[in-house]
Amino acid sequence: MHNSKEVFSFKNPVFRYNADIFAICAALSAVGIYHWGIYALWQILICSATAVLCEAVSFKAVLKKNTLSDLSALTTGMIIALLLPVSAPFYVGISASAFAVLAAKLPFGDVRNAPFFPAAAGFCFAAMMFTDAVFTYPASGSEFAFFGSEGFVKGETVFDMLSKGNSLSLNVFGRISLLSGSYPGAIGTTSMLVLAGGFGYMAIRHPKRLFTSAGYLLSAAVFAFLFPRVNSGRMSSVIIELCAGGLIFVSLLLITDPVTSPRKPVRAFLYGLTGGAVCMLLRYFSKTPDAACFSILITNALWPAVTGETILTKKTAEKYKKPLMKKKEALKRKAGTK
Amino acid sequence: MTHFTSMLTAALYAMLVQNIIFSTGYGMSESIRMAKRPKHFFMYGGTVTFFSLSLSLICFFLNKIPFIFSLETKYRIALYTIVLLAVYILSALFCLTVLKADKKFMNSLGMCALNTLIIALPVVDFKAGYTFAETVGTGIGAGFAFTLSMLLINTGMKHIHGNRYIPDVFKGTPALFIYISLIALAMSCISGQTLFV
Amino acid sequence: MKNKKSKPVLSLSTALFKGSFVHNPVLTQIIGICPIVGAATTAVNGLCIALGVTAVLTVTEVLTSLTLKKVPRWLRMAVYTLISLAVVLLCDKYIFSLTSDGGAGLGIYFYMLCVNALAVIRCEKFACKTSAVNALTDGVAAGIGYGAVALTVGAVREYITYGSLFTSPETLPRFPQTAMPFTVLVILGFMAAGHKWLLIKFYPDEVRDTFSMNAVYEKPEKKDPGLFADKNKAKPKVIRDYGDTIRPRHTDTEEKKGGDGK
Repeated sequence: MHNSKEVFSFKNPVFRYNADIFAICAALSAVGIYHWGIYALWQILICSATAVLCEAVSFKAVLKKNTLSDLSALTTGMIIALLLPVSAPFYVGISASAFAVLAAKLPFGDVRNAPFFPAAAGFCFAAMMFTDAVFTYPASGSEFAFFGSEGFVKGETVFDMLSKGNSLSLNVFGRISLLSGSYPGAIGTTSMLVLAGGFGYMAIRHPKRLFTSAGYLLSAAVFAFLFPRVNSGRMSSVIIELCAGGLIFVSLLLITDPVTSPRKPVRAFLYGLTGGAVCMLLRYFSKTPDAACFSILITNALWPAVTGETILTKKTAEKYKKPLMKKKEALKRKAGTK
Repeated sequence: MTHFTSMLTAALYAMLVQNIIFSTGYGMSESIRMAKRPKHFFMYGGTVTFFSLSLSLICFFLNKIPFIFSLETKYRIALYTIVLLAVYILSALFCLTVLKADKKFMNSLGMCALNTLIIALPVVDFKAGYTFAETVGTGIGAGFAFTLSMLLINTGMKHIHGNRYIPDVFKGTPALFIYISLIALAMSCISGQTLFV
Repeated sequence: MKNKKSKPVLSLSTALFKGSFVHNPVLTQIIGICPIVGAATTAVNGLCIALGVTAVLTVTEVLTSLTLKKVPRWLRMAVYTLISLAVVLLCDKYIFSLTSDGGAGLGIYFYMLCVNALAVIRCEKFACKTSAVNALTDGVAAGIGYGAVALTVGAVREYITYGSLFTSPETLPRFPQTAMPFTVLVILGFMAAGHKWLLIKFYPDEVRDTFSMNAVYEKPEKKDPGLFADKNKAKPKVIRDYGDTIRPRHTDTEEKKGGDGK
């Protein structure tokens, strides 16, 4: 269990994982700040500070322990900020981060026992309470008077165009815009180049986590191929659907969470497949423009119900495998001598 | 074929799109209480499906009578409740005399039958103006939705029971409330939307 | 000579306090949350639900304790529903006079109090085994406890949605999403946590884990060990939970049936 003496220590596996997530989020934040300016930085700082403060105060008050050293609060805040548009008012980020910590983490002990991914829960809460603010994206290059102001030019996202039935082709994104991320979207979900770099980093540091991502992306791609919403061909549909919204971001950072997703490769792949299918079903049939985070919550709830595999069965299995085998052998020997 | 399609659509709507338990709260406390006994899920689910389907169908035909069609909401609910009681008593007598059911089953039969979900269904069907096929679909879908909710809530209970790191103030009921609220949050993105539109 | 096994008699105030606060039906047992989720959207609606539930509970419990003790259980449950329906139909006019919209905001949830699980559970667990006075006290206590939660939830929702309390809302709601169940369940979760904190602080002996799965996983062995079993042999402790104890299924010679999905 968490050793409070190992402060910010790479011996702590949770810290190691969160440090890598922080590195990827930092790269995405840098791109977001480059495109959207100081207001993206404000959004990231507000969300992260709220998450850290809520965890510091609430965990100290309720659990009488300090859990900031595993960096989970910081990464939760950053992920929420990267999913929000730069134009979202400050109270949206604050409420999302506070909900993520106070409702999705605190009641279950800590991040290692949370049955739902906290950042996804926080974003979904903000998406339901402040739908317009969360799903209205500013156009590239639009100017803001101050943080959270409404005086910006609203950009039309690919989701808007897909839902209106516009006939899209691959040139809806310019190639440079697609790589760099300078089109209407959330702060950290648009730059394909940096996200690809994130996948490469994850492949080096935590390769087993990518089984889940592979399942998620494959399932979404197959769905888009079989049921295209555009008239410009099935392959175009696959590329447009994958690049629209935060699907790739979610497949990199949210579905790969080692706490809620299975450890074994085959199960992780199936888990990803389920998440991707749920995401595409929600995209096609729900009114919510970007339902990727809702798919994470539904998969977190559905997978243990269907397979019987929960966070705690995984822990029990791993922790007690060796002593159980030893005890079994000892009993066999005893029965043999009798 | 169109009847089958509309029945299937209504069933999927009741089960997934507007999951009648997580989006409106009907039958939530009953599903939480029944979720504690995973071995009896299919029995509970089957019983709820039977009562929801039979009450929906009987009330569908009763609503064809002009006098009943023009009743006020409160008298309509009173009538549906009396019909439900009649169905329950007949089912209970059948189970006691023909099936020789034991005491435990009879206790759970009452819990399954006298349920806010069962009473709400015919009212929802009437207000939505459902056809016969859609009424059948909603009845079946509500039973499946109840079984799904029991399954999801039971998973939460297992997690909370085995998690010894939950703070003392959240152990038991508080953590279960929060767990169910997160499931309801996940379902809320699709609730209130029509299927295939 | 005094009967040593007689239970201590509670005073009226203690009985009311324990029934409403310590053993609050919503916050400790999750009974009857459907009307709170669906109807308690404003403080006045919460008050109407509170009054309706109290009326249903008291009348049902008193009548149960007076007349239904000898009736078989399966039939009693139908009679509870009939009694509750009669009470709800008689008192709706008076309760709806408190609201400005004639009860329209309550929808069908008020009339569905006739199948509220609270009345069934209180009657079965208590009223059919005790006197009418005790049943009345229990009904009032449970009604007060339930009503307090309904009123609080309604007030919180009204304040978040309209920014007012106990006034008829004339403006558009700021947050119409508070009508969705997940907000109510979050509010109830934190209320239950606060309630538990108060219990742990002031009444630690009364703290109970109502939804512990111990009843499912720690059942005592009832099976006959058989003619040839060694009855002097100590049986291994059967605990099938997910804590840190080693699961004995791998060590027992007999295969245990489990409901844990593994």
